[in-house]
Amino acid sequence: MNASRRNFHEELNSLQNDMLKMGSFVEESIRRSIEALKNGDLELANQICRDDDIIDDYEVNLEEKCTRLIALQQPVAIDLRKIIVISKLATDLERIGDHTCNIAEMVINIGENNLIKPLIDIPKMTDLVTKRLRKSLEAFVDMDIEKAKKVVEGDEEIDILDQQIISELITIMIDDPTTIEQATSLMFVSRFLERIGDHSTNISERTIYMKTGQRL
Amino acid sequence: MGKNKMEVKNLDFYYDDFKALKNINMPLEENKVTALIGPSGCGKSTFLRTLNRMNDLIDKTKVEGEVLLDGKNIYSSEVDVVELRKKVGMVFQQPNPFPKSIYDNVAYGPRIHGIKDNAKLDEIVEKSLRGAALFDEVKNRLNDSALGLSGGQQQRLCIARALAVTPEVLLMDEPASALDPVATAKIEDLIAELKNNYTIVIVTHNMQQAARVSELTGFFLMGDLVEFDKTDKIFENPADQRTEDYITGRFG
Repeated sequence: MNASRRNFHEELNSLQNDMLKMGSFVEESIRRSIEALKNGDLELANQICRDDDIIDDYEVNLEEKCTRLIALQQPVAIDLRKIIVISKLATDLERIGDHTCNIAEMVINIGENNLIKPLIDIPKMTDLVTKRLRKSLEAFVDMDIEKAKKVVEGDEEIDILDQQIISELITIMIDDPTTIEQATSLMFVSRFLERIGDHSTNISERTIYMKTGQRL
Repeated sequence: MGKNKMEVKNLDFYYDDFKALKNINMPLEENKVTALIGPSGCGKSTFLRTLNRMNDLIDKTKVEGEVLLDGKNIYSSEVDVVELRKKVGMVFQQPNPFPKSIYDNVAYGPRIHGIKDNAKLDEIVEKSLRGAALFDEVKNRLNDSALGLSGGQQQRLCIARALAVTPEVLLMDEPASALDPVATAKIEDLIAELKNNYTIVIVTHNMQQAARVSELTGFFLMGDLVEFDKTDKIFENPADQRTEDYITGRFG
């Protein structure tokens, strides 16, 4: 392989590494947002929303690198698909970042009030959602179609948990209308986690496209 | 799929003992541009030359298999090679105009084929130069030497010269590789225009060019036709790992 092409493939690897750094940052942001919810940590909640700028910078930076590689290297086939997919993944990750900020805003809404119920399903869902995000990125790096497919299939589990949380909160609200405000916030938290899960599905579907050129 | 203007069947080609093409099978669709890509020495230019028997001019070469033009094997003994090359014209990498006037370059072929009437020749020259998108640039200096034209104009003159004998298939061997980007763009526009009336086969090392101008692409490697498919398929998602490695620059 000639030097400039080798250079191109090194740049492609570095692009992928940048995307993974963004992925880790976003994954951490999901965990911290639920941590803030559990502990009523308003300072942490505010910090998460401020950190959204860092995530936005990651996205812009990745997009610019993708555009430059396309302009200068005229990639084709797997290389082109990889660059396009990384650019799309950057958007998925940025949206996940937005959702963690949305969760943090709910934490701020709830404020210093005691939680109306112990958090059980939401941490469980958080655990599932972060694992799925990590697996979807691993599947991307390893170009592991089987792993990507498992992430896609696992989305149902999260949807079921979301439904479960919502019906439980509705029951609480019916019993005691003073819980409505907080329960609504918690419902939103659940829905944001569910949306985060959908982005992991997107990432996995794009991985399958990148590897095979086929849409799922 | 449209009608096949030409069809290559089980084609083997030898330079002395060296087997340069191995069992090639490829249809060439009418009014389509087919691009041939692959590293140097892969056989793509050899293949192109089998399509109008240009390899006949090289000693110790041997052809096995069939090349059909409108269903008839061009290697059968009753084929007149001069007639064949009238139908299957060729444009080369380096523009190679004759050291004659612009007019005489284009009129050369028709004169050889027996056209003597000046009015008729004028008509052919104008039509061919227009077909090659050159007429407006040279109409006031048809009697000037062709060697005074720029490289890009010379190449379009060579295309006009090929068109003058009313071919049905045009073979182009790296037609733009000696030209600057502006002249290259003109040739590419011309190819897009010409395919309405001709079946075109183009050999190119410029893969972006293959992607831009052709509908079908064949990838050759060491005498094998590794993959032949629609151009968008080849460049978006080739089926063979070797094709992918080549077009993404992973080997060579």
